Amino acid sequence: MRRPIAVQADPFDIESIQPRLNIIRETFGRFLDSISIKTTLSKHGLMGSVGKILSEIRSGRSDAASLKGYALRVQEQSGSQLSTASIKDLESGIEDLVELFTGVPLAFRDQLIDRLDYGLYFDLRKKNLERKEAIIKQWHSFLLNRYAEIEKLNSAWKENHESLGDVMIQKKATGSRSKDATPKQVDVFEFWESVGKGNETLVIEEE
Amino acid sequence: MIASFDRTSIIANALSWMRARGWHRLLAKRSHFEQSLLEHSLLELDALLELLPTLGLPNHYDFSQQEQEILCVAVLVHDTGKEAPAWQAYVQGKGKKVGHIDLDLTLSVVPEVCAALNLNVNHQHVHELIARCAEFHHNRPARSDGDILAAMFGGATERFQCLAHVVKGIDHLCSASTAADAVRVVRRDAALSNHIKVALHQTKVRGISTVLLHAAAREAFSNHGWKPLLYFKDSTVYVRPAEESEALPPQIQIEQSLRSKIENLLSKDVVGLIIGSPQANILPKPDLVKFEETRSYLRQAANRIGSQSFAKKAMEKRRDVVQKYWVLIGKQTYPSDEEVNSESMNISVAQPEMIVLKAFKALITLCCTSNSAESLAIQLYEQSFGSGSWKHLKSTSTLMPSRDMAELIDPYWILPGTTFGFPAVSRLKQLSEQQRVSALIERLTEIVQGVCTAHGVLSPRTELADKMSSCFVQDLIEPNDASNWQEIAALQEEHYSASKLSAGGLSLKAQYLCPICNQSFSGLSGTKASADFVDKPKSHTNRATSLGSFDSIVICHSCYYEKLLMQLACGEKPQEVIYVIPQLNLGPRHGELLVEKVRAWASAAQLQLSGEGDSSHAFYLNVIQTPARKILDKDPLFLTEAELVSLFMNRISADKQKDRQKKIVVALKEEFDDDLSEVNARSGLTFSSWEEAAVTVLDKSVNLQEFALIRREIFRSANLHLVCETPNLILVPLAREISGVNDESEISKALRKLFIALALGLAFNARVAIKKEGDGLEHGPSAGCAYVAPLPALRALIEAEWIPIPDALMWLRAIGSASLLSRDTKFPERNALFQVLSAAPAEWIVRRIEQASDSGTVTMKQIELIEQLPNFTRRETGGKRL
Repeated sequence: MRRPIAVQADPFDIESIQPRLNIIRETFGRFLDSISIKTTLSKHGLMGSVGKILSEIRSGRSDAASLKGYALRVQEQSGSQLSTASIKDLESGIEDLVELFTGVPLAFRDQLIDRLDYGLYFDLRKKNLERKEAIIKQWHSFLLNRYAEIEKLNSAWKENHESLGDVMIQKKATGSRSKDATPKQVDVFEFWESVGKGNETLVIEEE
Repeated sequence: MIASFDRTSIIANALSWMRARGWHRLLAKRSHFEQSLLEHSLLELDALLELLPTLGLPNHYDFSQQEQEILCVAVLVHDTGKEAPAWQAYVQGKGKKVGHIDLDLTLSVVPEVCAALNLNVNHQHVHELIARCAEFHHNRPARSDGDILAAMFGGATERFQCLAHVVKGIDHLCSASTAADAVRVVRRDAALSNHIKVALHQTKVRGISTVLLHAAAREAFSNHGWKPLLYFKDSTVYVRPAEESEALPPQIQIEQSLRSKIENLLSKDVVGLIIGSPQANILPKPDLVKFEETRSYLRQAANRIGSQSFAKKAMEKRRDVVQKYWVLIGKQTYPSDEEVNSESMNISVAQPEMIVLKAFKALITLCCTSNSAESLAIQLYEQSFGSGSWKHLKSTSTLMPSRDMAELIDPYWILPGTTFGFPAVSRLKQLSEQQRVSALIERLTEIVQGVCTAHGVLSPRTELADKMSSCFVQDLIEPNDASNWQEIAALQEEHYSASKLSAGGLSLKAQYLCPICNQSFSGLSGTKASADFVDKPKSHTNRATSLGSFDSIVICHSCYYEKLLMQLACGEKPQEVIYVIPQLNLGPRHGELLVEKVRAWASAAQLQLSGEGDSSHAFYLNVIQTPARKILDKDPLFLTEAELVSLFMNRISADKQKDRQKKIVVALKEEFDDDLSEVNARSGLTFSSWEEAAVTVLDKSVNLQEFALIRREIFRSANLHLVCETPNLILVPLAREISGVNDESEISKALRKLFIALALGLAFNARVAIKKEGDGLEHGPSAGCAYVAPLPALRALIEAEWIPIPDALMWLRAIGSASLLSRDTKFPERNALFQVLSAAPAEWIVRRIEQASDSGTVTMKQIELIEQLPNFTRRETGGKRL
């Protein structure tokens, strides 16, 4: 006689893995912060090699070692140098993700990757916008310190702005400190000098 | 001698202190009901202030001024320990059970509260006494000795025990979940029962009649010397000094008071409600008829249809009618196109007269209460319209142009002019359309009034207030002269089993169970439901369909009168109703504050809707982006009255303003017969153009009745009414459904309503439900701030029938943010609100906006809005919703 086998399983709650997912999101976020990004305009550009890893995992590749190799190769091809800490973050993120991914029921795997993918992208985009806003603020306070009043700026630049807040930030390439440079070009050059390296990409691309 | 407190300022100060502490978002009670810590503490303070003038008397507790102040502070801080996060988690079912007694915390807030209430209580030992009084309320008998000893060692007076018992008594009274429980608590507690008497009135919750019944009962109790102490949705607890008589007002007095309130409503102009649809029931509300107003009803009937409407129909349809008409008058030929056009013109012009005759037929039937009255009606009618005309009149039914033309209009049109006082024409057909309609109305009015006068027929409306009040007073559960609940239950059971056979039609001998309110009744006390009262009356229930033919459901008289009363109060049939009810219960002063707040909001809205408000803004409840923008960074409870009023005001665009101006010009020309000099003469000004006059109408600089009427007509959008008498239950009926685009999905509409309910619920500190008129309030207990419509996807998203108080602000911001994001995401408009709100993960919306926008970018403002969505994964809370 056959014996019936009774199985009582609690339904899987995707919220239960969210804390672990958050740790992975932070690890990948830290990794992406530490590498230089060519463009902030596209999702592809912002997510860098992490985006590619997520695509691979989504399509069924769940071998941590091969994913790590693949990610490093992508980074090499993009020409960026990775520090030891960055590599550690990348490795740890991949290992944790593969472990988590293989542990959840099949029906929830896409949701898991979506949460990580869009969650991470949201963080990066937000950070990018915050930096952009901070630089624009710096630009306006730079102009305020230099000119104090809009009339003075209009007269120096030979332009007609209503207020200092209206003056759009200029690309670094438009700045100059040559002999023939206009006051505007000098201002732009000196502003970017004061801001320092690394920050200009995100602003200029979107202006 | 008891020094009197300034109750209003104490309550206002207590409110400010509690709001600043965030008690409106914390729970004090949660079982089958919910009450915020602010509401609960305020209720106790309010009840205490109501009772102090009695309790403090020399023949009762003889409280000194300082003792009264101690009591005020003690009841206000008695549940301070409940603000602890651990207790809040416990009460919401998210944490382990923990106690809420925290003496140190209570002690720390007492000086703050004394200062906030401007009370002159500065001594440390008094503060300690207050804290101990506050703590005592939760102690079980065996443990209270410790508090008493501690208080005594701390320098407390021998009065401590007395004060502590009063605080405890007030807490238990105000914590009762029903009025009946509150009454029981007082009667069992010697600290209160030796000093005060309590009574209650309780009623079934039906709707507008309940609002009036609450007011009538309060009035009757007040006339008997009782004062309201606690307002519940379905009941009110009253109080009076113990030495006074405990006589309750007899039911008849409540009924009388109710009747006078109904009579007030009936004295309104109801002509617009009398005439129904010519295609269905021309007189759907015969109970509202007053025969003296027959002329107005018939005029209304004449205006129900245009004299060109039939002529505009397609040729095929007209040919069909004309052919039938020709058969009836004995013509056997096929009409040519030209003949169809010519006959169509006649039928079209005759249609207002047809409707007038239909309305007359219904009115005279109502009027003929005896055979002799009917004989007189026949005699008078046939005197005017010829022999046999009565039979033709009675044989017609709903509007049937071919038959009505042949049997009613043709015989009328061929009458000689002299019969109706027009000797200049040989036949009435030669009169102008207007003259003929007027002559018909006059003659029919004379017939109706002649029959009424000769036979002393009373108008149905004269008896209506009596009938309604005697029906509604049966909803009183307490005081009830004849309440044998076992008998009532047995009768209900009997009717339930017997009513299946007759549920689909009206039979005088049958037994029924009202499908709306479950009341048992016989066919004599029932009414066949029409579409005028009940949505889809023929498909309202699936009962009895297997037991025979099904016509329309039969409802009890109370439900019929309830629907009638609602239309009377609004002057139209409302589509939806906003219900405002207490979270659990309200004290007397706070209850008045709620009433004042709702009245102020509704009056401002009505002023705006009548065109007498700010002409640069319009009041729309269906546009939630504007309130969302205004409210997102605020807590609605902190809104000033002006801010609350302006929450739903939208600035009118320049194009819309121009459009309005054009409409005003058209209306002015119509009103003043295209004569600008007439406008100048009436206004005493010299306008050089119609546009100039229109500007004056818009900016209200000239006070002229015609201008005000034009403004009302042009500004008119969805009307909003107010039925507000007591704090128990407040209704705001809406003329139109709250909806965005025309084909908006049910779920998006429900979200709009939920947003409004949340905003009002938080601002009024009350529970708010927006429901379709006729759906009514649920009878059972329910807990939360705003009602969630019963749509499976919405309930699955929100996971509640009512949004709990602690979650209310989160959902308000979530729906508001979704509404602000919906345009940027470019989802189909009909469902955009829900799609944004339910996006999982919410972070995906960033990509959606980037892909949908021309620039391909997202802004910081949009990022902040996305962070408010319910499925946004918050790392600081472990991914769970805030």
